[in-house]
Order: sequence, then C-alpha cells, then structure tokens
Amino acid sequence: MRRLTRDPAELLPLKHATYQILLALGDGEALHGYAIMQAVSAMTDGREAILPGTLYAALARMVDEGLVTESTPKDDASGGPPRRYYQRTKFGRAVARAESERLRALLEVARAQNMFGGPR
Amino acid sequence: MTRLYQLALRAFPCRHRDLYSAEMLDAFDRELGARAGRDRLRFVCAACLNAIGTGLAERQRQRRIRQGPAFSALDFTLAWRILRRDPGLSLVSVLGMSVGITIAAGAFTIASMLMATTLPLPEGDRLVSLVSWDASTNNRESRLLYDLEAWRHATSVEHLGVSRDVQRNLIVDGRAPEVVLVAEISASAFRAAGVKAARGRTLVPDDERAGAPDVLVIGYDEWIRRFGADPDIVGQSVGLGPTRYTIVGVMPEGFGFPAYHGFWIPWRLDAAACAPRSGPSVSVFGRLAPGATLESAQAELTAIGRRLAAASPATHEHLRPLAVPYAHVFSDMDEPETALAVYAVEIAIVLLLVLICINVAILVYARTATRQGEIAVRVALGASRRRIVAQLFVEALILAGLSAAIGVGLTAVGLRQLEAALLALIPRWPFWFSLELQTSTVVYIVGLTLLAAAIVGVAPALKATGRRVHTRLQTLSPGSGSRMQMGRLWTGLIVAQVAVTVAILPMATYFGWSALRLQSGGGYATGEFLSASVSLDRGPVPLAEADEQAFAARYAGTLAEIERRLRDDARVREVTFSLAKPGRELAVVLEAEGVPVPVDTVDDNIVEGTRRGTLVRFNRVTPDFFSAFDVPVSLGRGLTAADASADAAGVTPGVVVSRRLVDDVFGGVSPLGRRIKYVGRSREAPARHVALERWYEIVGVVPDFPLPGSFDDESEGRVYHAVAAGDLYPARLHVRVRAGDPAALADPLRDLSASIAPDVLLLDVSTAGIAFTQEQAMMRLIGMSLALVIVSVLLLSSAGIYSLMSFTVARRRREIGIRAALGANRHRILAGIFSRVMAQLGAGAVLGVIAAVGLQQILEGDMVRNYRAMLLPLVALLMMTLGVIAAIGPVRQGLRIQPIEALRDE
Repeated sequence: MRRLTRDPAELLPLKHATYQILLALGDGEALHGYAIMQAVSAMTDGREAILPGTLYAALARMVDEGLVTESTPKDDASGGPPRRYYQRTKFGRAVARAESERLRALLEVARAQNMFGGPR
Repeated sequence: MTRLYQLALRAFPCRHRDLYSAEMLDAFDRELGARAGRDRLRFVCAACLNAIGTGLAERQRQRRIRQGPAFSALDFTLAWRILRRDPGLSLVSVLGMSVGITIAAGAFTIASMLMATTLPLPEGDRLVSLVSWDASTNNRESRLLYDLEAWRHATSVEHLGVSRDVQRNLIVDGRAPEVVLVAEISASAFRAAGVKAARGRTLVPDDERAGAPDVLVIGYDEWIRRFGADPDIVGQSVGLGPTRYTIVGVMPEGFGFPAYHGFWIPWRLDAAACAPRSGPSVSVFGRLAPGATLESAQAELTAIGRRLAAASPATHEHLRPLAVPYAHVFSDMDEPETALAVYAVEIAIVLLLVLICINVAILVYARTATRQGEIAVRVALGASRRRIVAQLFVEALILAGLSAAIGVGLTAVGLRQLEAALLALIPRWPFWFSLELQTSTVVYIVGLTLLAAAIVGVAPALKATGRRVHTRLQTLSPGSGSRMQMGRLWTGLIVAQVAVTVAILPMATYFGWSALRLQSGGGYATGEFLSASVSLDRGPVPLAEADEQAFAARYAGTLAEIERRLRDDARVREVTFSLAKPGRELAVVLEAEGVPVPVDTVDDNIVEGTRRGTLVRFNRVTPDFFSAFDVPVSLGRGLTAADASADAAGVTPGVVVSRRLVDDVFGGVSPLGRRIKYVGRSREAPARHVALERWYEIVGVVPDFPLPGSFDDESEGRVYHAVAAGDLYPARLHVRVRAGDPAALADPLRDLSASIAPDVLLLDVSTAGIAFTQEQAMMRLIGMSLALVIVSVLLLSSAGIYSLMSFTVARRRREIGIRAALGANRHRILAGIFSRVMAQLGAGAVLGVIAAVGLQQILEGDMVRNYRAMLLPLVALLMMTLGVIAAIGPVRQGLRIQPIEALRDE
C-alpha cells in the first residue's frame, strides 16, 4: 500500500502519457483502458491520442506508484473481454495537481514572453 | 492485422501479457475498426512499433523491480554472520590481506614521496633543477659554474640561482662552537622559492658583491632553538668560523630551501672565472618563466648544451644539460633507472597483494563450495545471479575492509618507525619529505580494498553461480558432499601454490633471518671508539696556490696538536687516523699482476677508468691504525711510515690487504710480494687519493675488519695504504677510550678543537656503537617486515593447500565409499588417492625448486648460497606434508562410509 503522505513532487515531471491518463480519469467513475483512450482523445478534441501499448504500460506503472487503483467488477456490461477498471487516487490527484502547477509556471513564462501571439 | 499486433505484444513480459493482452487487443481492434484506408495502415505501424518499444521498456522495469537494489543492509548482516561462523578462515584471510595492504600502502607512500614534483612553496610545481648528465660515465656532473653562465641565456627559466653546502663552526657569543650546515646561495633563490622573510629580509643581489658586509639569514627552527626566539635577533652578529656575520632575517617556519637548510649566506664565487668542469660542486635551480614548460626549458637547454659541446668538446662532448622537476634531484628520480625501479617495485608489491588475494580467494571458494546447496536453492527461488554475486562480494568486502582498517593502522605505525630509523641514518631530509599517512594513501588503500574484494569475492562467486548451478539442486541430498567441480584449474592451482611457496619462501626467509641476526658490533671493540671527521673552515672563496700550501701545513699542525692533546688525556688509550670509516671504505676496481681479469664487469658508480676488474674497498690509514683497532697482521708485516713516504715519493709502496681479497683475487694463496693496481674509481673515491694504473706491492694480510654484517656475503676485499695524518684531508680521527662510554668524550673533543682554533670543524662525531645500533634498528625493521610477509604467505599457502587438497579428496569420498562397498582393497584405494595427491604436490615442489634455482641465477646466486641445500627441501617437504595431512581426513571419512549408504546415495 502506498503512503498518501508521499511528496507528489517526487514523481515530477510526469511522463506525458501519465499526465494524460490522470486528467482523463478525472474524479468521476472508474474507466477501463479503451474508455481512457477515448477520454484522452475527447478532452483534446482529437488532437492527442494514446496507443494501447503506451496506455497499458503506463497503467501498470501507475498502479505500482499508487496513482490509480485497479479493479475488476463481476458485472461488466461494457461488452468485449473481461476488463479492468481504473480510478484516480487522492495521491494521483495530488500528483496531477503538482504537475499542472509546474506546467502553469512554465506557461506564465511563455505568456510573459508573448508566446501566445498578440502585439509585440 | 490483429495477428501482427499480437506478435508485437510479445515484446511485453509474460506477466504483463497475461494481465493486459486481451484488453490491448480489444482496444487495438476497436481503434482499427474506426479507421479506413491509409490511416488504418499508419495506425497499425504506429501501434506495433509502440508495442515493441514500450514492451521492451516494461521488461526492463519489471526486471529492476524483481532484482531490487544491488546491495542491501541485509547482505552486510548475513555476510557478517557467515564470517563469524568460520572464524579461522576469516582470521587467516584478514591477516594475510592486511599484511599485503600494509606493504602496498607503505610502498605507495614512499614512492609518492620520492616522485613528488610539487614543493610546499607558492607554485611549487614550477621550480626546476638544472643538472648536467655525463653520458659517457652515466653520472651527474656537479661542477656547473662554467655551464651556469651559459644557462643564464635561457629565457624559459627565470630567477636562476646557485647554491652549495658548506659546514661552518657557528660561534654564538659565550657558547662552544657548533658545526652547522650553511647554504651559500644566490639571492635569486629566495625569489625563485617565492617566500619572504618572517622577520627582517632575505638575501639581496647587493649582498653578493665582493666587499659587501657579511650577512646571514637564519631559519625559523634555528631562531627558536639557538636564539630562544629572540625578537631582536635581526642586527645581532654571530661567528661562522673566523668571520663575523650580521643576521639580517629569519625565514618562516617550514622553509628549508634549497633542501634542509637553516642558515643562508650570500653567494660570492665568480662563476665567470671558472674553467669548464672545474670549481666546487653546486646545485643550479630556477623557476619556469610564465608560459614556459619543462619541455620548452629542456629544448632551450639542449640547444645551449650543443653550443657548449661545440665550444669545449674536450670537457662537454658527453655532457647533457637537463631540466627536471626540482624535487627529483633529491630522490634521484631524474635518473630514469631509479624511476623505473620505483615503478617496478610498486607493481611487484601490488602483485604480491594480488597473490595473497588469490590465496584468500581459494580459501573462500572452498568454503563457497560447501554452500553450493544454499546457492542452488536461492537461485531456484528466483534470486538472480547478480544478487548472489553481490552477496558474496559483500562478504569479501567485509574481509577486505577489516584488512584495510588493520592495514591503515599498521601502515601508519610502520611509516613512523621507518621515518625514525631513516632519520637516525640520514639526519638531513629535504623539507618536503614526509612519511606520514597522506589522504592519497587512504584513497589508494580504498582502491586496494575494492581490488582485493573483487578478487576474493567475485571470482569464486561467478564460478559458484555458473550455468550448472540449476543442475546442482538435483544432486543435493544428505551426505552427498559437495558436487562443485574443481577440474584442471584447481589441480593447476595446487601445483602453482606449492611451486610459488617453494620458490619464494626460502629466499625471503634467508633475507629476513639475515636482517634480524645482524650483529650489534663490527667484530671489534665498537663500544670503545669515538670517531670524527676533522677539517678546517676554508672560507667562502677558493684559496690561492701559495695559501693552499700554508693551509695544508696549518692543517697538519692542527691534527698533530689534537693528537698530542688527546694522548695527554688519561681517558684516551689510542688515537689514530684514516681516510674512511672502517666498514665505509671507498670502492675501486682492482687488477692484480698475473691474475686474469674477471669477465664480469663491476656494477658500481665507476666514474673514471674501467669497470673490468675486481671491485674492492680502499682506505688510507696511519701506520698505527691496526694496532689501535687490535687487528693482528696475519701474514707479512703491517704498514710503516716508510710506506707512507714511498707513496708520496712515487716509489712502489707497500700495501696491506684483507683476507677476503686474498681469497677473491689470489684464490687463498699467499699474495706477499704480488703487485696490484687500480684501474677504475667510484664517485666517492676522490681522485687525489686514488692513482689509477700505479703498481703497489702487497706486504701484509690482515683479517676481515670489520666483520661481515647482515648481507655482507657480498662484501668486498679491502686494501689499506699507509699515509701521514696531515696528508689526509679531511682526516677521520678515531679515539679509543680506556673505559666508559666514548660518547662522553664528544664534548671535551669539541672544546679541545675550539681551543686550538675557531675554524677547526669536527663533523660526524659519533661512536661506532651508535652507527651499528642505527643500522641494526633499520635492519630489524626490514627483517620484521619480511618476517610478517613470510608468516602470512606461509599461513595462507598452508591454508590454501589444505583447503584445496581436502576439497578435492572430499569430492571423491563417495567414489571411495562405493569402491570399498564393491570390495576393493583398502590399500589400493589409498594408494590410488595418495599417488594423485603426491603427483600434484610433487609437481609443485619440483617446479618450485626449478624456479628457486632460476631466481638464484637471475639474482646472481649469492643469497642462499649456504642455505639452499637446507631451506629448499625443507619448505618443499613442509608443503607436501601439509597436503598429505589435508587429504587424510576426507580419505578416512570415505573409507568409513557404509557400503549400503554409498550405494543408496547413487
């Protein structure tokens, strides 16, 4: 069992796929792998996608690191093979937040340098 | 397409595939279904490549998780327990390695000290010595004043300076004169060294002017010791011989430039007036100019050297000027042979450590073999080879670490002892020499520890965890014994182990024994003699020829006066003079009339004449010398005043030789009336005392005196010439007391000399007993070190041979049991086993004896001359006995196995 008191900053910077998955999972219900792939695509308006190899390797690692929990419900009505469902943990949320803060700080620098267009 | 993706998924580890492959394939199919045309193909390629890449990465990750960290605290705990379980083996291993590490670390410290290129001065690595090498005699030429004038044109070296050592009588008002070493040095030396005076000033160029006031700079230690740290020291005057000097400065603590000096007076000799290769011996030094390197300085010097050789070919044809790191001149590291020898010794000592570690590795391997079952079980339970090797390495690391800790302590103590012994023998050390344990030595010891741990731990571990480790699990059963294969490698090791021990041990034992048994005397009444070198202070400027004659007459008169006053003293029994101390005679090459010249050349510092001949030692003594030392003339007659005057007049003079010379040159036949001449002289034998190619007639034979000491199996014969005391400069005075400690006469002797004249210099006032005690202390230290090495090598070799023999025989225990069960004759079984054991041990002993004899030849065969016959077979017998004893236990166990038990195991 992972300790919740671990410092989220220890895992920063996150791999891109890890950050995508943590955001795609949100605070809602648990999602299975394919649903996470679709959620990543949907939240980026199809600009970003995640391939199954990357997804499942990342999920295995995230389970080990305590960022997500894995479960296998008995009454899965989604069709297809028996699936594992993933849910973001509190620690996962804290890590996603820390990564977001890190990226925001970078964005502020970019904004200060007028990287988003507008009059120079 | 799905099939292709399925193949790509095989890059993932099994566990991952078992868990996720169905879902991954499902996700792949769904995504593929949502695409069409080229987009579909692009997706398949991307997904497959992605699966392979991430799969391989996941494999790596899981392997890392499975293996865990290379080392853990548990490894250290387990290793400590295992080492404690086998205290005998651990103790022997630690003892052996600590001796190896101590010797290697000690050698490293000495080599670092000798090879240091940086002085503890500002930018101390830029100071250089300029030396001149005579390629024809392979010796340094130190009469450099003529060359110095030419070297001043070199732009790569600035603040070029020159110095020479002079011994002067320091006369501080109200105190008896004391002989001190003074550096007569150019003012530029202080700029080259980059050090300012702590009080007052250093020497300045104006001090070198003829007629300038005589000034003196003193060292910090001298200021404390001789002047009680007097704050008003600057401006006071003291006498150096007959001249008064004003102290103008005190140098800071620790400063001893050019080497070990505490008094500095200005250089006043005019170098420009010197002819090539004439004048006094001097040292020349300077500082590399900004931007210059040793190489650029050397290039410039070489060019100057060529010009000098062209201008004066008679003197400079073979001289090669060299720019070397300053410190190297004092450790002879400017001579390539010395540097090579130091490197060779260091490598040899590390190899000794490696040899010791291999021995320990054999011991550890034999123990690892008994843990084969444990290793096989751990492998079966999933332990990786890396983990098991790491654990065995940790065990070795603890052994090596303990050895290193002991080694650091022993090195520190040993170096202190060595420094004390060396300081007693060599009273003056360059101020940068130190035998303290340095940080670099500790780092070196850490390196040695890791090397030792790698040899001791990793080699047996890799062998024990080899490919066959899995099969060993099948063979594990109670009473089956070890199944680890020893094979040819281990037979070879047994043979090599015995061979190396037999080859090296007798010689080392002989050396150690010789050093320890050194006599405390030289075979004469060393406890009754006080000796000193007597000279007169000649002042800083060379004397004119007329003054030389007056000087010689005054010197002869002084000696006569000293002798007269000493003979008047009731405590004194005998007074006599010689050129060299007994036992420190000067090396020369001798040729005897009618005796073939030896084929071998003399290996000594021969600077003039030939090396072809017999190396002998030469001394000039007053006619009463032998009677003063109670040395009887065993054949012919002793020396007379007539011999001394014949020598001076050019008539063939009579000489007395030692028994050893008679044996070496004349094969023990009486040499009376035979003639000898010198054909070569060494650096220390002054040309004015050794006339080459002049015949002398042997008139008497005396016993060897002093008696051979430690390694004096190699000592040479001696030739004694008669001389009048006044013709010796400087003469060595020997005073024999009637009773009591001769050292008590040292101060009265100094007072007596000072009362004759303030410029009488008494140097090296010592008793023969002290000199022998110092030499004895040094030899004891060497002997003890050798004894330590011998004991550890013997211990390790014995333990190694014992382990190997018992292990190889233990492997055959069941075979012995089965053969016994099948009715084989016990004697035949025993004969079979022991014939193999004896073959291995015998092969080792024979190889060892051959190697020992070979070593004898290489080392010129003198070292174990009388001992080889006894020591070699003794050590061989010891090793073979050990091997046989080691084999007896397992053989007896094998014979005791019940036949049914042996067969059931099969």
